[in-house]
Amino acid sequence: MRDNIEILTSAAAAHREGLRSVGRRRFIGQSALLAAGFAIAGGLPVPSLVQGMQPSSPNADLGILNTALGLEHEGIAAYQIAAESGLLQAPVLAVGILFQGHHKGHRDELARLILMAGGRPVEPRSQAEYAHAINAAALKSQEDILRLAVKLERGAANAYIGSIAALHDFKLAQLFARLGADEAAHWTVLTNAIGEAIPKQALIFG
Amino acid sequence: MSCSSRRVSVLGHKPTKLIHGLVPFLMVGFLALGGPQLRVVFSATGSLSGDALRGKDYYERTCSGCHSIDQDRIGPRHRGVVGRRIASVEGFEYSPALKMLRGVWQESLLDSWLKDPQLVAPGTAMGFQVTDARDRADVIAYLKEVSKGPKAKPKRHTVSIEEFRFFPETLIVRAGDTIVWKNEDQAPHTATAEGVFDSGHLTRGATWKYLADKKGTFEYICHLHPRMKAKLIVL
Repeated sequence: MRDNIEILTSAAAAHREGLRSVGRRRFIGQSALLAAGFAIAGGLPVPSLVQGMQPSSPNADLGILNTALGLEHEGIAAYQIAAESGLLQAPVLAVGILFQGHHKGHRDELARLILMAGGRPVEPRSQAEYAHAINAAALKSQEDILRLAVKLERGAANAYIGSIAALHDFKLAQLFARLGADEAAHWTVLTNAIGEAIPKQALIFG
Repeated sequence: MSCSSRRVSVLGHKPTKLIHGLVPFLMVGFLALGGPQLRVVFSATGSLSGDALRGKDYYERTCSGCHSIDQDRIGPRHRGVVGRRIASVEGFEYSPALKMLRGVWQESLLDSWLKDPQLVAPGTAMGFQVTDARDRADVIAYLKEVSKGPKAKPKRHTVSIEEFRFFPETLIVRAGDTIVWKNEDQAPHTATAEGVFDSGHLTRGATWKYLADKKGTFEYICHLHPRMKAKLIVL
């Protein structure tokens, strides 16, 4: 666990260094996978995932889109609860804030698509309700929080991948694949942080 | 002469022999014409016996993205789902599509639902599909396990009164649970649901305990500051 926190520490340092540089750069850090995770953000705003997209079936996929939005609201709240817990070391907190930023980007894109399709984006619940839903009272250590994050990210990746077949709009299906890929990237980083091995069997998600 | 002693001869064969002789041909015929459908029927009625332990693993890897056994999250809680009336978890916002369905979550319906929720209730919120029949059988076996057995032990919940608000604003508990209100504010407050419960004046630091023995949804306020509103749902 300590070695993995050091990996996060060096990755966080690389991220800070990258932020000081001008323009877009790819950071090669101690862990190529962690570096890739930071490079995706690179301190720059997440671009619109499906620019100019108009859903071909405005209402057919709205329910699923709003479910995805609900998932992102929960993820954002979970990272907020973790950040405010006072249990996280600085480099772990930095990673949490980074991942929360990704979820906010997901949230904004899903809300945009729902509005474009004539729907009403689902509102987030109160932080207290999310804390109750994820049993935040049971989180007593950094490891507890990391393990919860692993579980939530894995669930989110599988939720996106498992919902693709239900979507009527191919472009939304592609979006869901990308969203699932982000969650899988988060899961991988966090799984490393708690020292668990990546599964040997292929087709880890879905 | 009794009926049983009269046997009608068909094509020169006694009826019982004729039927016994035809059965293999009938079976082959059924399988040839309806074999795939028969296999689908078997699958849909859950003749695959699932492994609850594998189902728990699948649930925790996959379903837990949106569901928990005991908490309502993106999806409703699953404890007690097998045999539960569809769209019946109090306080959970079901999709209109699911609310239109009637009946209970029996195993066969759960199998169809997990396979393709949009086919069972078009437009519903859930898009996730469990495409493998074995996985569905395992998950259903696990859900059966969490739907039986002794009821959960009563729990104690805390509602914190801070900054002229109740936290959480919506609390969902089971009948038999205890709720403790604690006033963290300087100002005194109450937790009052007319005709149901009334904490009386709570000064700073004071607590008040209530045993939720009555089921229902109870909106309550602070009698001293009526803009402070919250909801207690007792299942």
